[in-house]
Amino acid sequence: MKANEFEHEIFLNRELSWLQFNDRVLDEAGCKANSLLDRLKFIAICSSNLDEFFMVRMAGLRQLVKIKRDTPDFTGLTLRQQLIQARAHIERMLKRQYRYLNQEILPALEKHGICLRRPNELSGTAQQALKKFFDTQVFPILTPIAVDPSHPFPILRNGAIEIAVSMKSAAKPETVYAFVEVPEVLPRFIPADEDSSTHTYVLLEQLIMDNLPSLFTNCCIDQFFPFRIIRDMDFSIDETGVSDLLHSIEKNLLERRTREPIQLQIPVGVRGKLATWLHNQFDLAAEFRYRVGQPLHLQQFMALAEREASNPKLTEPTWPPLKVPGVSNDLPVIDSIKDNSPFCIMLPFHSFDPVVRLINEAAEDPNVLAIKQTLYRVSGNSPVVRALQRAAENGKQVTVIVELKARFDEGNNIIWAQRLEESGAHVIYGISGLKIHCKALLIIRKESGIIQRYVHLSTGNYNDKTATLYTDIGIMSCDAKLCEDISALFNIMTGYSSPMSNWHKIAVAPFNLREKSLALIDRETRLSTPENPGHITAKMNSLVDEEIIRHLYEAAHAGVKIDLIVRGICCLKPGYLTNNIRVISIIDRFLEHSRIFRFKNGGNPEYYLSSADWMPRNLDARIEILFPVSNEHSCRLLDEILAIQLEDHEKARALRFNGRYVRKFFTNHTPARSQWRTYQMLQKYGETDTLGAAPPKLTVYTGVD
Amino acid sequence: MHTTTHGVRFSLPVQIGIIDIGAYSIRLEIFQVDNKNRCKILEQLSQPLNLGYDVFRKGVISPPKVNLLCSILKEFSHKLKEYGIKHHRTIATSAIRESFNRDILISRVMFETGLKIEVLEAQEEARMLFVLMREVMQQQYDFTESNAFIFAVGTGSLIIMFSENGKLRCAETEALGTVRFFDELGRTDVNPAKIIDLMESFELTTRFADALSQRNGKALKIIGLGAGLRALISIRNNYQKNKIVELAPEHLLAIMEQIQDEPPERLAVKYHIPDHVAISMAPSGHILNYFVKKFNCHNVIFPLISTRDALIADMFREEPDPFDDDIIASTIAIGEKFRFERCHAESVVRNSIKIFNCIQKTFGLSNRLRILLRVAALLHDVGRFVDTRKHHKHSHYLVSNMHLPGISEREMQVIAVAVRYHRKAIPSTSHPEYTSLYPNDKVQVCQLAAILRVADALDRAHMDKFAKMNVSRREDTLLVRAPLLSDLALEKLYLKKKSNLFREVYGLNVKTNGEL
Repeated sequence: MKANEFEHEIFLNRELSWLQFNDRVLDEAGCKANSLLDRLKFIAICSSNLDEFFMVRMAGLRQLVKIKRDTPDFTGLTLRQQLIQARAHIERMLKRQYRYLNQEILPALEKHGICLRRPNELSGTAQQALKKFFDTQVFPILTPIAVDPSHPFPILRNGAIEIAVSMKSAAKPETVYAFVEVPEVLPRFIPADEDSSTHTYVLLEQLIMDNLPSLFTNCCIDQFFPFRIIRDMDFSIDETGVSDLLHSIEKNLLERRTREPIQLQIPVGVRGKLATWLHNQFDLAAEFRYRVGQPLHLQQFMALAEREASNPKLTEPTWPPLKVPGVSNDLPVIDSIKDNSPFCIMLPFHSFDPVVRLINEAAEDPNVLAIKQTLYRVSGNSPVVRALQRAAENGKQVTVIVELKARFDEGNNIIWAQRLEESGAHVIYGISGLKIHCKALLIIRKESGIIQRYVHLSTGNYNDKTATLYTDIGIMSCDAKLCEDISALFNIMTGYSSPMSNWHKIAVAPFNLREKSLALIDRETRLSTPENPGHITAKMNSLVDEEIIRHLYEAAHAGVKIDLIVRGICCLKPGYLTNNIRVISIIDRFLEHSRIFRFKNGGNPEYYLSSADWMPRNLDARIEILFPVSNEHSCRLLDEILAIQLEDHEKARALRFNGRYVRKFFTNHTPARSQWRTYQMLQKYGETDTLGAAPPKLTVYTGVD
Repeated sequence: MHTTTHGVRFSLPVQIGIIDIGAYSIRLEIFQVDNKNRCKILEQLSQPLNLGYDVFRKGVISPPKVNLLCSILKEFSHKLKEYGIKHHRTIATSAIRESFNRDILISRVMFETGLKIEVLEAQEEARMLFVLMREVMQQQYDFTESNAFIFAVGTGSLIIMFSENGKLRCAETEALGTVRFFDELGRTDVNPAKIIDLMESFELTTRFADALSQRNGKALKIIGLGAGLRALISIRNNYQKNKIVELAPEHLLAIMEQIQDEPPERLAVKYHIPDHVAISMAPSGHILNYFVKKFNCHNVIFPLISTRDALIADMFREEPDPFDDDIIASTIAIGEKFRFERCHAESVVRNSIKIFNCIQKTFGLSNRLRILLRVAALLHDVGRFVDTRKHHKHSHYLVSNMHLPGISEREMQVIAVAVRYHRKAIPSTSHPEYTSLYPNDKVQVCQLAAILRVADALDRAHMDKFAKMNVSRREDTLLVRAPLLSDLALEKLYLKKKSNLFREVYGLNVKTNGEL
């Protein structure tokens, strides 16, 4: 099979595929089966995603255009074509987003007493209370900045809502321009309840705009409107010759304020001199100027959704986290690992508590000698970090490998990393040139004089907040060979040792993960016969890697059945000369985040979990791991989860040969909804509370084997 | 509780750390020995650091390399803490051994990392390798019946050992390391012809002619040790399973042909081996092959052990030290080189040991001192090879320049000075060879020389009259009684002359038959 002949037939453009993913997120905002506040959350997520897309991907594309590298990608699109198509896509997406918000969600919320009002629509007493709030809470922290020859154009903060104002002062005849930044330290939604039956809010920028005269005294305000500027935040540090990564990232963070703008958002319908002046101030090509609906900055509607989350009519009930079977509440977690190793923790259906407990108990356990952990993104007041601090204070050898380069979290990371260092932990700030993305915890313990090691490996971060929102799978194990591998992995990450030549159980990027993944795919191709066709089921966040896609296609042509569950970007276009590849994407209340790989292996299936997607950056430029799950009950659980997902007809969309995703919309949730079925399955399974028992058979595996 | 030949006491289970500072890499191995004496490796770390380049070219380790060494050792020391390791050794081989600034370096490492570097002398390395090699070989061959040449091909040096009937007869170290070739000949100039030229210039076969003449018709075994050779063998054999691999010379050549066109960097990737080992593969093969051809051997044996394995085994070996007999065997080999009078030497050994055993407990003499005494007694007269007049001084000069596997350089000096005092003057502050010793070593010299003088006096006639003597202690007297068969007048005379030091050191008068 000559790959070149069908290049354009098997690949989808990465950026356009990402936009389709965000479309799917937006679909959830329009899905009437979802609760109103969940729909509002999807509006916010869609916006936040889009901002990030501009900051990183669009910025990257523009950078490439600037350096004239406008060669077509493997789908045949030039960079300029990608920019044009992306813009058209984004404009459609924005229109749809505001339609859902302003025509469906907000009016529906109003029926439940949650209203957004302009200050002048409120009663007199409410207006007075609001004025008082402005004078005492808002006014003191506002800093209007005038732009004139003596005040150069200010640095406007990335993503913040700014109010542009034009005015004339009594003293001078010419127009004066100014900016007022809407402070992010204050809530965007200011309660302005008129009676107890409603929850009325006023947007902060509305309140400020209504009070502009008190900011610019002796001036006649001409025109004003809110706008946002998004900057190029593509974060890459040239690490060659960087001796102090920490210092260099701190410096880079400061520089971000001055990064080049990549998108200007001005409300639809704003015309006149002020808008023209603003356009002229930013040296931004027309294709990066957007007219958007109002209100701006929809990401912040997440705060409103969370504020109102207590209303049971507006939100889907929470699914209480389940107890992890095999983990006893009365015994230390380490004892449960010893008794039941290895076992899986399926977040967020299962509770994250055993992981936090494991670290907490290790911190106090006199037999624990050392704790090692990778930390990528942790929550603000992370119990994991606190436990590690305590462990270091208790004299344990605590080694924490902190990835400072976790995008948009760098500032947060520096603060707690320094805090850990102060308590005596050995903090290592990543490896130059490689982002550390694997999630691993290693505990070294001395038991009756013998060293025993325990590991927790996961597809998701050690973050107690995302542990309730992302679907991730972790394993806890005391398997000697696996522990040995993880020990060696930490030695590489801490720079103690050169990479090991052969790993017992895991595969590690950038050393052999690509090689291992390709070998597993190729083995399916080799073993596949018409009587006993191969079968690959792979679940991941993104499928981008060209080489992997080619090998998958080769496998499909050899008769291997391939089921791909890809939440986000999928550059593989299914259906070219074979119907053996099926791609679905699931978007639901929890962010699908686990990476599961199942290879039929001629009838002796192998299961792997991984921190890595099949993307070039994960396979070549990060430290990632692929680890096997081999005990029967865990494999059956994984089988069940994959089967449930492949049978989802509600939240799963199927990718078609034309590159579009298709789904059915329901007005109520159906029994086919995979996340709910998974929860139910785990709930039933947990009732037995014995790991030896097989998970209840809720489904029939839909694969060919 | 587990007490080893080193006097270290372990209670099992135990975790032990070994840091090995080689010429081209620094390695840490942490292992655990459980109650059933099963050994399990917990950590194996390796960091490349080319100390050899500095030492073999300039004689010293440069300041940037010292800094790097300190930072690697700091990390390793941290690693030892992670496992709560109490027993650990930091061993340095050829690079640090040969570097001029080694003492400064050792002191700096001690200050910065708390790790005490022990420089493993070549003879000590030879001893440890030999003992483990013999233990491994003994599982498959009757090694006590064989004569063998053992080549430990390292990156910085080549250790050549000859063993006769399973006992080590001699060991020599040459500056012929595999990676050293690259430093000395230049990276592009290492080829089989150059290596053979270099080997020829050392005239090794001539120097070992004496050893070769000892073959007594027995087939000579060639035994190869070293990481480069192990890597070579691993291409053909899954050596995880075997402890010994035996190859015909043509098979060794076939393996070498297989790798001859592959650059080391490709070998490293292809066979999953560290780069510094990959570089060593071809030169190791050429060195060994040179000897295989020279000695016309039919097969080569590779016990798959490393210096680290030897070191670990050594830490756990219980008394009696199996190498004691090898020390004696190689001492006798050296004695023969100087045409010593073996019967007299052995008679003095017997006499000395009987006296030693009688007073050992009372004076707290160590078992190690007994071995030094045996060596001193064997070699006390080698100076006669130069001249009978002042032969004690010639003995001192010769012994102080000898290298014996299993005997450290410091111990060798103690033996040399003890030998110097086996006759004539007793230790004095006017003797620089004595005054230059460490205080503890001076004590040992006196303890040894005192016994040696008495033992020598008892065989004054070189007739081994005291072969069946009885030694006992009565209050302030040491009584040495020979069976009343011959005239002891001469011995009595010399005993009177030479027991003065014994009296000074042990406070005992030495008396023999009829003197009480």
